[in-house]
Amino acid sequence: MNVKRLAALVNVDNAFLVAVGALAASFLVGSFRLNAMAAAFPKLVSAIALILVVYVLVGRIVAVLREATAVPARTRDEPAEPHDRAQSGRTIPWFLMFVFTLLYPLVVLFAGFPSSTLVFVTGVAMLLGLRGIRGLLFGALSTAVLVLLFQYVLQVPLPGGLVWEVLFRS
Amino acid sequence: MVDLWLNGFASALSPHNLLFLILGTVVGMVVGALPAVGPNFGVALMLPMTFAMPADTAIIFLAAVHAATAYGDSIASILINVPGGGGSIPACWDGHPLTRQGKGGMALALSAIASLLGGIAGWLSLVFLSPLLIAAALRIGPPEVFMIGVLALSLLAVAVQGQTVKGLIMACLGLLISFIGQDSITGFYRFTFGIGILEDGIDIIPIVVGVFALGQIFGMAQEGGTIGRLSEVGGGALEAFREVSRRTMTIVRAGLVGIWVGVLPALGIGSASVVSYMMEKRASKDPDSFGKGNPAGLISPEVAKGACVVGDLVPTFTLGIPGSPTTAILMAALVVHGLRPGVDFFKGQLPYTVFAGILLAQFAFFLIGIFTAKYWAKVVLLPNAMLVPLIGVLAAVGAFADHNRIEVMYLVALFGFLGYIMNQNHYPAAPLVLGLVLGDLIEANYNRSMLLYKGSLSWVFTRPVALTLLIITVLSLGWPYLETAYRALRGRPAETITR
Repeated sequence: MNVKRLAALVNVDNAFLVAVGALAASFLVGSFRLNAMAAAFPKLVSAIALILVVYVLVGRIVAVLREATAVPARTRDEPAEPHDRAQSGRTIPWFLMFVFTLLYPLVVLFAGFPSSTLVFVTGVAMLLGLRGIRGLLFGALSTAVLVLLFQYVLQVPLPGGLVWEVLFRS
Repeated sequence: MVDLWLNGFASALSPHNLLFLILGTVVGMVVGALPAVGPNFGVALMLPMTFAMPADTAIIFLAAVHAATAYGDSIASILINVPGGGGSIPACWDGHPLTRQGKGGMALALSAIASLLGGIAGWLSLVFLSPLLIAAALRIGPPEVFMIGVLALSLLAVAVQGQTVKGLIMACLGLLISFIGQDSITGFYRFTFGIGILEDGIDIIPIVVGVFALGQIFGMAQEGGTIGRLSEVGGGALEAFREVSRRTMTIVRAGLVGIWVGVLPALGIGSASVVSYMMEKRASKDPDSFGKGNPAGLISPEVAKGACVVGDLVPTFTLGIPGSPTTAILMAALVVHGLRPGVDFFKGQLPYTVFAGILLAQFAFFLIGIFTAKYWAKVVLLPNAMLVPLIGVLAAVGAFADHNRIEVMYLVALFGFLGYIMNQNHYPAAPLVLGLVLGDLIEANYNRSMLLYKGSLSWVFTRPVALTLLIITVLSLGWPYLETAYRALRGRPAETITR
């Protein structure tokens, strides 16, 4: 029975806390290899962080084991805000969006800013419901405006990409 | 003296200076309105463009960019809940709920009026009170600066009711991240885990952009639709003026907080706006309405931010100690133009022209903001299908622009992931960012205090100001628990503290 209850503790919130605790522990261990002054404050902060994480986790475990009335944080969170969206539209799961944002710099590195931005903006817009010519026009216009804004107005040297470098600059 | 001021205003109002004042304001508004790029980005970007200008024009131009970007930052906070920088985080808390209630136009006008009032308060401190305030700031030693930093973190941790422990964990995480890289006092490389790129430390921009901008768009992509309805974008300047006129004490409190935090070295607009918001919430007869679209929750941090933007210039111009990261860039501009902050800066006509230009810059962003507020409000009508990819690219390129390194874009993505997880599980992001911003300052002053007292912690208890600050910190941290105990004793339903 206890195992079943403890299994309820396996969630993203607690996993996040464990990750923060592990980071704090690694800082605490790492600080022992440093000069006394460089280590003093990090030691103090990492120890406080670790204590707080352990306090929260132990509190949650004890609460579950005691079948306390206070339910775990994941389920006792405030109710979600009323949905006031004007339209539901199409959606992209958050983890897929995260993968896209990881892939984007990779494509920028190889294909350069303009072409990768065109693909990213058009692709995401289309997946979110801006279909057909509207999606394509939006992607092309946005890319042109972004290039103008950053490259020419704000003077940011945007990456041309390895392909451009190899084909046209060599 | 009167002649100097008259000449100063005449010079600031000359066609040449006026042109750059307006140009700086427009540039600042554009950069500020872009989600996730703030005053540091705007002022740093414009600095190279001032090389050919006379010194007074250059400083007026950059001061206008600074003030307008700080105001413009709140536009994105209010409309799409994505702050442009640390100073506009509290604008999300009550500004965005106002937008969701269909009062986006009024919220923008509130922000413009409050920022102008704050700017005027800051300007008055710059001109009239700076000698007194600097004398007070000079009395503050490392122990007090350390305690002020800890107090700012603590106030932020208790900002979200019932999430104090989570807020403290986030503040610690921010401090831990700030330790990565070279220690500013000993020069040792710390916590790089053998990864070369970490030797330079992790800059705040990819973290702020990732946690606030990308974390936000992950949620927006998952929800689809639009941020608001056409009928919800309502309210305007008149309504905003009425709201502001009813809150004199809010303005006075926030102005004083903004000036004080501005004059204290290194504590910038992020601290001013958050501390002011917390003070206002504590002072309010209806604290539960904060975070749900209470106008006072928007006016207070905006006044404090406006006052701090100008107050930051006091230690910068007089002592050569930047009041904030942005004023550090402004100080670099002074040096580029052959000016030395300090006594020398206050000789001749120059300070009067610059001060007049700074006051005019406040009115410039106010007028542009008031007259264009309705147009900025239209941003909420854009479907998420347009906003999500645009914010995604702006976030990545904004962070890239600061470093010109593609790896920074990966950091933005990773912190976006972190931001989304934090958002979904009710971990406040602001303490993390403030911990990161104040990490160096707090640690350096902790070490200096320990050196001053030969390794003893007695400075905590023997210095009255430091001890008072410690007591305030402990009380603010313990307040949610004391409140719960008090309510339980009085037989009222207790608010449980979330673990």
